[in-house]
Amino acid sequence: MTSAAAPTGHDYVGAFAESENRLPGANVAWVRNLRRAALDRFAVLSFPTTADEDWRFTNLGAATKTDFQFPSLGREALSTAAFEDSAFADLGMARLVFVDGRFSPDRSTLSDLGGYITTLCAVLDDDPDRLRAHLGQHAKWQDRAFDALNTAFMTDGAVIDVPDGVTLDEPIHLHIISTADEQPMRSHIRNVITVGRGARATVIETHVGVGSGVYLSNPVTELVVGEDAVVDHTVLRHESPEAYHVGTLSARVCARGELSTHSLTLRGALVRGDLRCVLAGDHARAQLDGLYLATGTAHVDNHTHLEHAAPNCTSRELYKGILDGQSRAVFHGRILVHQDAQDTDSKQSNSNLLLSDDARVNTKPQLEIYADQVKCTHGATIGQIDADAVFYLRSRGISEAAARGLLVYSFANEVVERVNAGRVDHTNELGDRLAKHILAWLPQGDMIREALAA
Amino acid sequence: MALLEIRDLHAAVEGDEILRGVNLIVEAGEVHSIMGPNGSGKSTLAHVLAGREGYRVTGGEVLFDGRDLLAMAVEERARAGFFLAFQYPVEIPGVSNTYFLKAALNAIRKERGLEELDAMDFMTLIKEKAALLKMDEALLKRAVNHGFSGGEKKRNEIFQMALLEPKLALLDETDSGLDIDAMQIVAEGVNALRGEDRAIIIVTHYQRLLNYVVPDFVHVLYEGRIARSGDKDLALELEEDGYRSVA
Repeated sequence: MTSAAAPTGHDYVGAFAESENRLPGANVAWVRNLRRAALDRFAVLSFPTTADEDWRFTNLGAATKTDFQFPSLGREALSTAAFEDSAFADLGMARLVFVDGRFSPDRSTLSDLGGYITTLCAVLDDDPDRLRAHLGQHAKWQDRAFDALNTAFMTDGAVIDVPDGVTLDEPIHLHIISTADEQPMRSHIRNVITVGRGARATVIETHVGVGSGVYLSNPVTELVVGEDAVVDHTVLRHESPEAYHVGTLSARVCARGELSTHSLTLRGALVRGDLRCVLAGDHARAQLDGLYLATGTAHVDNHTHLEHAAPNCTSRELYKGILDGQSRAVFHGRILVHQDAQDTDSKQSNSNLLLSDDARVNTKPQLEIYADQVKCTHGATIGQIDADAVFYLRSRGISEAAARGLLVYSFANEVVERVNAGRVDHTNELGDRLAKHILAWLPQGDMIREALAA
Repeated sequence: MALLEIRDLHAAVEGDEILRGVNLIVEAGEVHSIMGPNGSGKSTLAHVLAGREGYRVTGGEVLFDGRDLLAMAVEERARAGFFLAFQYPVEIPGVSNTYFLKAALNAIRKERGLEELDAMDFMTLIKEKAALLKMDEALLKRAVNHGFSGGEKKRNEIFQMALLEPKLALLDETDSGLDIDAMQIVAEGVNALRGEDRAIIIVTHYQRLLNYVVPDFVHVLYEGRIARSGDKDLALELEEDGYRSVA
């Protein structure tokens, strides 16, 4: 087993042996066994290469050779100023803050969050068995190297358990910070969210970097949407420009449950987001949205894996990307319709806007249908700004630069508008912040702001 | 000085000369109609005046309000008061009509030295203009022309014209695809904009819109030139005899 560490730059197996007894749940047999089993799987699987179909267009390259340190279990030492500077820190809502994989109680407002929310560490200390049915049960650590890595090393995260029939009026914000230090670090946040029958919840994860250096953020969220439950889940990634982020959301939606997800990638050297969603009960619904912005040499890879495992389920997928510079994007949307998932209704769409001649996109829909009564459509587009639309806007007095900016902004806006659309309180702080971020990101942002001012 | 003066305009599309010496003078306050059979150069003329790419001017000049129109960027023409109502309005998914109108109106007001409208005045203004065109206010919230019916798109063009108050509006086949009710609404909108300071050019294949918006002058474009000019009766004559009489 020790030899598995040889091709990588970091001795994961050695680090595990060193830290195992200090990891949360160390004295709980099933947690210990889960971690060890996951580490064994990681040692066998090792980091994926481009020979792996699911990683064909994403080369982890230097990430596999970097000696990422596993931070000690001591308290985090992030200055208040650095914290406040971290993007999307304050969304005006109750939040849990994690820094480099550790819970930061002083910066969290746990008390405002009712009794339904706590941390992974706290549960594994106090009442580990309540997690047994879920922790490690939805993430595919048996065959996904990064899910395995997370499962072996998970340090902390949020545990949200909304009882049957309860509506959380406020969204929950999980602010997950990685600090870019001289020595690259890695973090493995694990969230477990279970929303009971007929319950409603909105969860926003913001994964952000402080500083501009290298680190590896490797979060995993396991999510169960109960029968008739409604869940809105956002993952926003604004990592350091040098950072690696490889994360997974693994969701299971029970009968008549509704899940909306928003996968928003704004920054990071290499960002890979996997979304696995199983529609497990009759009439379950999923709306999976994504938006990715990339510039420079950034690489963004979204993999969605949607499983229709029950009849009469509906799924909608809309992923949009805007690429500038020499950036690269990958979209791989797999839809698997089981034999008994009759009357499946599924639509997938991936559109990409290229702002430069050097940006590149690889998009691949993949439908596997074993039922005979299904309605499945998919479409992918890669294009540049529509010249006819630019002309139309200019013919109404709008400058060429503002017209281009407006079209790019609007391209993104379709996804932005739906962020938080399902929120109970109908405010859209995150959507507004996101819109501002996109304006700031666009070269013509000032012009668009000016054009729209009134 | 005429508001628009086209002198011996020649233009080519992909190497084919479509306009072969167009001459036209339009004074403020006038309504002109340019008619002609398919392929006579009507839409080419509209696009050349609006500044669309792909049309090469090979000769002649166009003065708009004393300025060299052909030397101006597309947006400068619009800001100077030139408006083209498109034959095929472009669908722009994602850009809400309201955003778009705000951006356009602000750009044009800025050029005219007017203050930008505040949000409330802007909404009041667009509601007033929408009522004029009997536009469903829900259309204002939708993306520009996206999923609009043919008639809604054309109405949206005239609505934009009403909002932007150009000096010269060129309506390119605005009547095509309109049913009789929509045509009357569009015509009312156009008539409401007739005025001493404004000129309107109606490019059309058929005479029927001219029953509602009665032109001062009618010109027949044929094989890239104005072959005949007259008053509104010329349109009726063409309706009777077809364009062969011109040839």
